[in-house]
Amino acid sequence: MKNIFWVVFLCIFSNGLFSQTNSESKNLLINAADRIGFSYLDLTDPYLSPLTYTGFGVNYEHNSAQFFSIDNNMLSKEGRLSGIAGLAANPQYSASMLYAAAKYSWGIYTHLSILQQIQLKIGGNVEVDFGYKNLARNVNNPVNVDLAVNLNLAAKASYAIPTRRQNIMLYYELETPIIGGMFVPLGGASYFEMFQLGSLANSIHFSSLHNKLGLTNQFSVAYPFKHCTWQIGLKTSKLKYQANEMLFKRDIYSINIGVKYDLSIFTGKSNIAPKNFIGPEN
Amino acid sequence: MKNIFYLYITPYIPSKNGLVSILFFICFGFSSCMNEPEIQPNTNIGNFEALWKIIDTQYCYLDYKKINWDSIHDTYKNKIDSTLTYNQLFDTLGNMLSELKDGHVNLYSSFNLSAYTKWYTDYPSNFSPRLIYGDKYLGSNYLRAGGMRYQRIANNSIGYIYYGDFSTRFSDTNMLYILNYFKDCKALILDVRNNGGGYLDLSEQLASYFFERDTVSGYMQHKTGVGHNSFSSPTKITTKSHKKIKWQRPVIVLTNRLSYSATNSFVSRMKIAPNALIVGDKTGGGGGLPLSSELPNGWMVRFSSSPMFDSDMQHIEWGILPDIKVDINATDEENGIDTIIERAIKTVS
Repeated sequence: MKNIFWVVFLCIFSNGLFSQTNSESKNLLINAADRIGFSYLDLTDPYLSPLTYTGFGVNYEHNSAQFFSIDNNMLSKEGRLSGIAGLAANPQYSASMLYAAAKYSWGIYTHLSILQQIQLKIGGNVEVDFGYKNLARNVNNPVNVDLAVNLNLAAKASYAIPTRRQNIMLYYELETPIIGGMFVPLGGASYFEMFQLGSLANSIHFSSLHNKLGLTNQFSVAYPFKHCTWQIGLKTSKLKYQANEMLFKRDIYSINIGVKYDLSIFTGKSNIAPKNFIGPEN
Repeated sequence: MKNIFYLYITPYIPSKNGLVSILFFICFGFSSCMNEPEIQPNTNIGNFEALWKIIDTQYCYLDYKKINWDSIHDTYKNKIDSTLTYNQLFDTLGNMLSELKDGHVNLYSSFNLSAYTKWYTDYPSNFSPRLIYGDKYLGSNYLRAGGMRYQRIANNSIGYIYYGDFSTRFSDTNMLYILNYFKDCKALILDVRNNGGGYLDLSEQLASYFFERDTVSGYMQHKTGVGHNSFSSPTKITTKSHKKIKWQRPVIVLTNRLSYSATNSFVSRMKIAPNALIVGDKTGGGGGLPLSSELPNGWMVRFSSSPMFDSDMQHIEWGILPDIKVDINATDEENGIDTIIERAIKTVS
C-alpha cells in the first residue's frame, strides 16, 4: 500500500514538473496583420468648400499586437499604422480634391474571456492623425491639413468558430475619440498668413465629445488557407468635428483584404534566438 | 436605516436601461452641440442664397466700402427665379458681385468668368508695350532672366527692368546677374506697370534687395467670425533685407492702374524703402488676399478675405498713390516716348 502511494505521488509530481517545463518554454509572439483595401470617401471641409466631396481611394493598414509579458496574458499592447490616398469630386464634378492621410496609434488593451470561443479586449490608444486635402482650383486656399492627437476608447471582440480542421475567426472592433487636440485654421486665414507671417492664433483646439465625435467599426473574418491566414473585412470610419464655426466631416467606408501572421523578436543579450530559429542574417 | 441607505444609493446606480440612456445622451446629446451648416439646394434661388451668404460672412470689405449687403440681397433676389437659364443666372450673380467693386472677386463656371474691371478701364492705361520695346528703352536686344526683361538705357547710365508678372519666378542668382549688369549705372528703374500680381512671397523677395534692414512694411488681418467687422488683431508684414544682394542706389518704381494685387503689395513695401520713389499712376489696389469657395452648382467664387494695410495701418484696397504722378502724354506716345520712363530718368539725373 505504501509503495502504491509513492508510485501515484511520483506520477502526479512528475506530471507537474513536465507541465512547468512546458510553461517555461512559452514565447511571446507578435500577432501582426497587413491589409490593403478599397475605400469610398465622403469629405466635407468648409475651409476649402462648403460642398461634400465624394470619391474613391486605396488604403493600407499594418497592425501588430503583443502581450506585455509571458506571465501576464491579461494585458497587451498594439501599434497600428494606416494610410489612405484617394480622389474625390464635388457633386457637380466641376472640381476634384486629392486626399491623402496617415494615422499611427499605440494602445493598451485588457483581455476578458467571456466564453471559451469569445475573447473581449477593452482599452484605449493614443493616435496621431494626419490628413492632406488639395483642392487645386482654389486660389489662395488650395490646401488644408488635418492634424490631430486623440485619446481613443477601443473595444475588440473575437469569436472562434471551430470547423473540421481549423478555426474561422470573426473579429469586431469599435473605436471612438474621447479627448485630444487638433489643428483647425480659421475660415478666413490663409496658410500664407499662418505660416509665412506666423499668425497661428485660434488654430489649435482642445477636442472632446463636445466638438468631436467619431466611430470606427470594423468587422473581419480570418481563415487559414494553405500557408497563410487570410483576412477579409469591412470597415466604416465616421468622424465629425467642429471648430472656428466650421463643421468638418470625414466618412470612409472600406473593404479590406490581408494576411495575418505571427512574429517573435529576438534581440539584445537577454533574448537570444534559440538554435532552432534560423534566419538569413541581413 | 438599511432602507434609507438603499433609497440614498439607488439613484446613483444606473440600471441597464439607465446605462443605455447615458450612452444615448453621450452619442446624440453631444452631437447636438455641433451645428449642422445650412446647405442650400442646387436651384437658382439656392445658388443665389449660397453666394450671398459666402460674401456676407467671409468678404472682408463690406464695412470699409460701406456696402449695404442686405439691400443688395433684396434687390437681386427679385431678379432670381426658377426660369433663369444658367447663363442668365451667371450674369445676375456676376452683376451682384460687381457691386463690391473688387478686382479680386470673380465667379468661375465652366463657360464663363465674371470680373469687375472698372478699377482700370475707367483710367488711362499709362502703358504701351510698343513704347517700352522701342529702341529708346528695351529695344530688340534686351536681356531676360527669370521673367525680367532688362537693358541699360539713357546712354547706359540707368538700368531698366520690366517685370510684368509676379507669377513668374526669379531667383537670387537672376537678380545677382541683373544688378551686376547695372553695376556702373547710377540708378535703377523697376517697371511694374501692367503687372496684375501673382505670388505674395515674390513681392517680398523683390523688395528685399532694396532694404538696408528688416522693416515692418505693412499689416494683415483675417476674418475671425461671420460678422462684417470680426477681424483678428493685425499681423506685421516684415520686409526682410536680403543678406547678400542689396541695391543701395536710387530705384524708381513705375506704376499704373494695372499694378494690382501682389504688385500693389510690392509697391506698398517700396513706398518706404530707402532710396525708392514711386512714379506713374496710382496703383489699381487689390489689398485683400483672396480665398475661394463654391456654390451648390459647382461654380467657384473668389473673394477678398484678408485685408492688408500699409506701414501706417491704412487700407491699400483702393491703390497706392505715387510720389510723382505722371500720365503718358499722347504726343510723346506718338513719338515713341514713354513719358513716365522719361520722368523717372529726369528724377535721377
